[in-house]
Amino acid sequence: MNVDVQLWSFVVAGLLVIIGLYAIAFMDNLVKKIIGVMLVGDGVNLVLITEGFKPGGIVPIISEKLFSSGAVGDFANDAAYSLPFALVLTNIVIGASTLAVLLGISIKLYQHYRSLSVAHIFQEDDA
Amino acid sequence: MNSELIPLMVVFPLISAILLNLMHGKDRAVRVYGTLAMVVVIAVPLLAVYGNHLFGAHPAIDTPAETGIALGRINLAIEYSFGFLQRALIFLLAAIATFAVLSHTSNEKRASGVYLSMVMLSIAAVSAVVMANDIFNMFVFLEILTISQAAMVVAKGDIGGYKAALKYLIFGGVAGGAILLGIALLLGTFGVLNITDLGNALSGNTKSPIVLTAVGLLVIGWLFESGLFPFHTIKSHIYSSAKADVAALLQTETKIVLVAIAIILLRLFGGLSNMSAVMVGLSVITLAFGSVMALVQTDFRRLLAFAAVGQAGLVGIGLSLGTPDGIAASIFHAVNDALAMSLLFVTVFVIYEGAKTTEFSRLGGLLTKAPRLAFLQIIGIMAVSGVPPFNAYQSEYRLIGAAFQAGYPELGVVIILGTIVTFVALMKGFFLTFLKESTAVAAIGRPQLSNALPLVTFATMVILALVCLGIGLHPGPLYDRFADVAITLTMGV
Repeated sequence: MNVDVQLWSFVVAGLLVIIGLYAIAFMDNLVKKIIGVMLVGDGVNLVLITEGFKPGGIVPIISEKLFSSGAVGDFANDAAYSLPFALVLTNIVIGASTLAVLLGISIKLYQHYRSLSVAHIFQEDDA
Repeated sequence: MNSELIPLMVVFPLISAILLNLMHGKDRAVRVYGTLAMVVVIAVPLLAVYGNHLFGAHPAIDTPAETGIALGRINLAIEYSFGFLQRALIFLLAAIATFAVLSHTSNEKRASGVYLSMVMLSIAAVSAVVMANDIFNMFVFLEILTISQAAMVVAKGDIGGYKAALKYLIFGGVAGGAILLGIALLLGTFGVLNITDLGNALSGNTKSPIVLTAVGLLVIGWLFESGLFPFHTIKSHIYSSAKADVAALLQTETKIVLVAIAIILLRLFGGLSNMSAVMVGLSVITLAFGSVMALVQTDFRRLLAFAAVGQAGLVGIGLSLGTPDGIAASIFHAVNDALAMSLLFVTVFVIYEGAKTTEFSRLGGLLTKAPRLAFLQIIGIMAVSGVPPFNAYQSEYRLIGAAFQAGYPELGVVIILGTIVTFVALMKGFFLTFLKESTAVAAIGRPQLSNALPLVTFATMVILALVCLGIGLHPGPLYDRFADVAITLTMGV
């Protein structure tokens, strides 16, 4: 059951990355391309979350009591792996920053070209 | 030794970035703080003591058996390492960034706090990538670097800058995803992020499919951040869309990051001959594309942008060889090329400021109007192209020697050919700008291009030319130290 959860989680992560790459490569709308970039990031985040997931695990909050009672070994056995969660948190912040800049640039390009079509925006470069 | 000044090289520019952002609109405050901050940014790497800094001072511990991590001891803290290589690279970055900042504060009517904030952010990011002994920390600062570089290009304010930044960020998003996925695979397999620990865990474990996939993903990230093939056009677009002083900073940052990530890859996967072969191949393609594309450009900024990308390929070749001589020569060439290319970008910046164009069809006959500029540019061209007695001659000569010693004489031939093509391309630019008589020459007056050159710009060009000459005449003090670094590195591999 739990293996299934992890397996499906990885499958969904893979799908998110593939859909994101498809949007970046083949979609003409600038906003859809940006959504694609975000989906790639979300897929990778899901991989990290799945790595940290422990079937039946406990919340990984360590305390002084654990050390004094000598239960650190049990804690390490039972706790979910917290490091990937910290990485995901950082990556979400980075993703939000990138999204903000990308959308800001998109607004400027839209104001100039009155279009969100990438083909239209980059038309003169290709000519 | 837990040197307290080491984190300051990252923390100070980060705090300065925040402060400058808050000061935006207060012209005098931005100018004064921006200038003073650069003094600190230059001084700290010179004053910091070599050593490691552990954030939170968490020491290494014996690994609890229950964690399942197959290492006797692991490092808990995020670790920064600071040695001669880091000092040289961060000082180089600080010096070129200082020019960008001074150029902005002296040439612009109103200094932009947001722009200087982005410069500071990029300094912090590159410094962190150079020092980080933690692979996730490296990723975080690479992402910050991508955003700040895109913002610096956007600062130019024209629509071409927005388009270049958009492409850069979209591809950066994919490359960042690739790096993080590679890190996730390594973390899932070995349970650690410290690069020394990962290197220990990976020794003899590099053949598994998961590790090979991680290698591939991390190499994709390296190619993007370094502007190597197939991302060379995106990087060259970024350089040519930015203001020339920003382009000088961007190409310096790219060369430093190229070296920093390649060293991390070598430390982690140095035993993988397949990775080395792929890296050499892609570097050679970058050199070929960059040099040839430079040759066919009709705009001086785009020509320089492609030449800079081609030179990155040259740096990549030596690093990819993985031998002490190759690594040392590559690091040396990265420094030399960053200096010489910066000189060229500044000369083109002056041409653009005076003529408001860098298209060859609208330039020509500037030799009589700006002889000093022509003289400095020819020095830059000779320095980039490896003409004695300038600095890149010393590094390219050593790169060719390293290729022969590694048993790849054909690589030596490729390096020579790439250098010749770069030289021809740059001389073409010089000819069309200064020597060719043009009937459509833009009206460029003598005052703008000679005596009335901004002091900061002229001083920067002279200093860069003298440094290129100085290193060319006395390469030993710098190269010998890089050689020591390379030997230490390859012993670890």
